[in-house]
Amino acid sequence: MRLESSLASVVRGVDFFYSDYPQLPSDSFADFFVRLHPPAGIRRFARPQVNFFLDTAQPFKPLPLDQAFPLFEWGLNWCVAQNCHQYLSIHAAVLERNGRAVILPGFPGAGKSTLAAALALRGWRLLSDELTLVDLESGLIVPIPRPISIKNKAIEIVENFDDRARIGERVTDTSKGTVAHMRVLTDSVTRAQESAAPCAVLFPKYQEGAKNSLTDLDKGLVFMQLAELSFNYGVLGRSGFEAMSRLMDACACYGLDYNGDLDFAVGVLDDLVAP
Amino acid sequence: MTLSRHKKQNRVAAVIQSPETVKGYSDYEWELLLRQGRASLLLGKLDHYLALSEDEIVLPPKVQNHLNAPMIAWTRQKHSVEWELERLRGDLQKAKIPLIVLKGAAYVVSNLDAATGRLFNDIDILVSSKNLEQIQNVLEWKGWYEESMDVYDRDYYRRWMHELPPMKNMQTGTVLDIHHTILPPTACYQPDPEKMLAAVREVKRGIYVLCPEDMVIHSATHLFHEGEFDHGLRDLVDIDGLLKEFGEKEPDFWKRLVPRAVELGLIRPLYYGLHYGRTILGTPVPKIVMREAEQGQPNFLMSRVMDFLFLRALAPDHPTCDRPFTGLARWLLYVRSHYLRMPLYLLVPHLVRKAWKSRFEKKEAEAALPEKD
Repeated sequence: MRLESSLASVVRGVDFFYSDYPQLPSDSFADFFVRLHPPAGIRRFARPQVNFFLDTAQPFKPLPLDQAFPLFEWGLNWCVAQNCHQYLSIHAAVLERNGRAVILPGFPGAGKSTLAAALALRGWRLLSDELTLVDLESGLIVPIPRPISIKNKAIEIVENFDDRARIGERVTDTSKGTVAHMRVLTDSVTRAQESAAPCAVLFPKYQEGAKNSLTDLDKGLVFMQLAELSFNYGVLGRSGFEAMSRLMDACACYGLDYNGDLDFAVGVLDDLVAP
Repeated sequence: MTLSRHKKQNRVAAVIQSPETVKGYSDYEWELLLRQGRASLLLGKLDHYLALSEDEIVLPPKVQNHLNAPMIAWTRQKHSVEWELERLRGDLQKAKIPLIVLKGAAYVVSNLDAATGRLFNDIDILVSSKNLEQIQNVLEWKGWYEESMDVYDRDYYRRWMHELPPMKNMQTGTVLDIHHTILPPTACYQPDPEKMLAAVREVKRGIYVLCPEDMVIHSATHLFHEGEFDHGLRDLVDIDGLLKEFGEKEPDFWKRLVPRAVELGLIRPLYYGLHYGRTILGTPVPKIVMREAEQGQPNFLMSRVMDFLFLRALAPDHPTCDRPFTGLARWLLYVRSHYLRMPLYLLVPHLVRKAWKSRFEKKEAEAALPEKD
């Protein structure tokens, strides 16, 4: 992608989170040309804001200036979800270990990103925190490793979970509360070209005081839930249905209730993909 | 490496006219083509024309993905539009109102080349004004409703527009624009819609479209009365596609085209359509037809002015196509469109109100936050 921004916070964010990623010469082909700039006019002094542009299009309303980096991350997700129909894209985290990928779909508050961060810190390879991309031809998951977005209490939990967690600037008062990102570990970045075979779909459900348990889920129901969580299942029509069926054939489906004990949750997932 | 050495040019038009120009494109030139194509809503068309080309053109896989995406969306839209039209046909048939489809949906239902890769938002239909009240009743019973708007806007539509306020389907979310005249009743040209209605053709059982000449004339009339040209080039590409296909397949099409525009009082917009199609996209208009259409050409000075404006506004709305004064040209055409639509004593209060309202609403919008994902 190609990025243009006049904002220091965006430059800092990119420096911090993307230093391991290959930098291309400026005349390479870029899929998306993203621009982040404050709107013109006197408002920039009174209540500074930032606009996200995909080239000339402005898909979102402006946000307060200090949310520029989160807006960049959300906007880039949107670009992929809207335009990359060579994949079935699903709103879910996905990580791989021992060559087996586990998809973690997230309903808000279920703790998908927290668990994804914990797994990444315990030797799993992050394929994506938000966008599970199923290649329509091969059925494999195509990685798009980018910073993991964590919110509110989870920020501290992840920070205390492992010394290797490197969290960027906290942004308060967003529509989701306080937001921060965790840097992707180098291994996931260097192996970003390696697709992975999916083997399980696991719906994490964090609840205080819940009993830790792993249950089997009905594949038919999971199919429908993933279709609902997909950004382009409807657009893809038949090929989307076929990709989803193939995914369901390849995957066991589970629900994981946990009380916030990340070590337990990581252990369960380790067992799932044990060689 | 500086990127500014790439000269500003309308790559989309160049590729539609002669797809082989992409041969030897550098990576960055491909990116520029895609960006211009996206800005002008023509990515799907680019894919279509590149695939049609007789020279075998090999697209880099990354580029191919971006061109496939709109075609996937288009295939989906085609199915749902066909399905929606079939339902509408059934509903209207019971009320004995013929379903006459215009613009994008008409190209789809007629299986025209102009439909391929072209995405659109609304289904447009044409209804004789005598059926107007009845069709609204029927549609309301079938789950279509007028989207909420304030009293001023509703009144504006009813009194001054050539279409009813858009209706939305409760279940599918499809938006329907119901036209009852060709142009607003206040516009300086007043083509008789009954003449177009009398010449419609049945393309599928119970579904009608304008006859080929009228389809072209209607498309040109709308384009050249438009105020915003963000999809101007897309609409010109429509006209180009229609002319090519009808010219080839429709007996006597070229013979009938100009006389029909004269009959409808729409020779000026047809002239513009032919002239700018030829100039920008190399549309193959027979010389004799062009000469015949020149009766619709404005005087020498006006022609120069219009060329100045339209050759700018009909380029993709993208900085890599902008020439000096493109912004001014777009603004002048915006003013012109209103001037064509209504006399000054109506126009001035309307524009003042719009400007006031857009300022007012912007403030409200800024308070809202975007939804995630």
